[in-house]
Amino acid sequence: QQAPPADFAPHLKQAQQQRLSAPDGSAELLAELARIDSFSARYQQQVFDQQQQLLQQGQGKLLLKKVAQFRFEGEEPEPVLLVSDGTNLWFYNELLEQVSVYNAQAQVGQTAFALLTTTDPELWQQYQVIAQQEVFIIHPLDTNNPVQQLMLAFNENGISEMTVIDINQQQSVFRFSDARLNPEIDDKQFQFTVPAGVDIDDQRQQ
Amino acid sequence: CSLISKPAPVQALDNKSRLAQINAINEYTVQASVGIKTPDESVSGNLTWQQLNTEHYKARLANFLGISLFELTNSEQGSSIMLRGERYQAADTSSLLWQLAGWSMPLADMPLWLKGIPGQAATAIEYDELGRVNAFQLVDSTGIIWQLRYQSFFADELALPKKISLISDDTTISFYIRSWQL
Repeated sequence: QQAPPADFAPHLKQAQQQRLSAPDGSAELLAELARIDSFSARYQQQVFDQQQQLLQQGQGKLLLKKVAQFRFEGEEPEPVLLVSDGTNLWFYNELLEQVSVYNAQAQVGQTAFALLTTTDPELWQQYQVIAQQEVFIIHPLDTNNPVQQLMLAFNENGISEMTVIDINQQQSVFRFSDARLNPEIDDKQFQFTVPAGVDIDDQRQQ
Repeated sequence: CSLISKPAPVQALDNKSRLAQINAINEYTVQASVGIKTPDESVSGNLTWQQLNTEHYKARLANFLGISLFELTNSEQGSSIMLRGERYQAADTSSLLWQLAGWSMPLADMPLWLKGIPGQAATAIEYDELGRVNAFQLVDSTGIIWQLRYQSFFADELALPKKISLISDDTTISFYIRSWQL
């Protein structure tokens, strides 16, 4: 049995114990995710600090498709593109003319979006899920994950809201609009061709 | 007033008055896309740098998800870094960032070089054809030698920096300043 990772965030330990006793909501969550074969929407993003001060705003588009395919097109505050075909995860920062490519499998926990495209129980076992009214509160069991907590809300068009809470207790709230559930999305949307003149930072071998 | 990122090109001020005006700016907010590439990692995000007066500033680098990579404050109470959920007080934030994050940047003079001003510690200063400083070397508190270069300026009277690169022997930091709010 592998030694448990050094606990990076001891101050969260006590909070985690309480949560583990809460009723497990994963079955209900997986039922919601099972409805979503594909999803497309615009998002408005707001980032708040612990005192609910607005730190940053953003907007853009999100495409999801089973399994592990997603496209996150950030327009504001800066043009960025995150694209995964399940094998490679490309991150393109347009203004910096930089592309990083990662192994998609290794990044599943870090980007939250990949999680929304799979109902794989083995993956979801690494998360503790609590169902409260129609909101699901999701905690990675690995406290080193920069995403400290994820909150998901659903409606008839699929995902209505996603909140990512980071280790500084800051909340990044994504509200989805013009959402379409299970639209036709060509797999080409999840492939990325590196623009000319852009240097590539290949992080896959790690 | 807010300098939108694509103002109309205007004949740049003669350099003496340009520098005088830039030196007088001690309250500003910079929104920049910042990329940091070290041998073992590549980090990029949106930097909001809020200069409150000549010395004090608040800065936040966050990734595309909005998750904060680091936050810096320099105030009457001294300077501190918030990184991975912990707040650290330190006089020398560059060294602290280096120890905590494995990369750093010359923070001591950043309020100056962000504006295009070299500061006392700069050496090997180079000028462009319009007489503006466009490169210099800087040794930061960790002893790292940085080659700083202004690759472009905003095409207006003040010609504040737009693209800045900082290169040390194993790290490259690139800034694309999207807007200056004065």
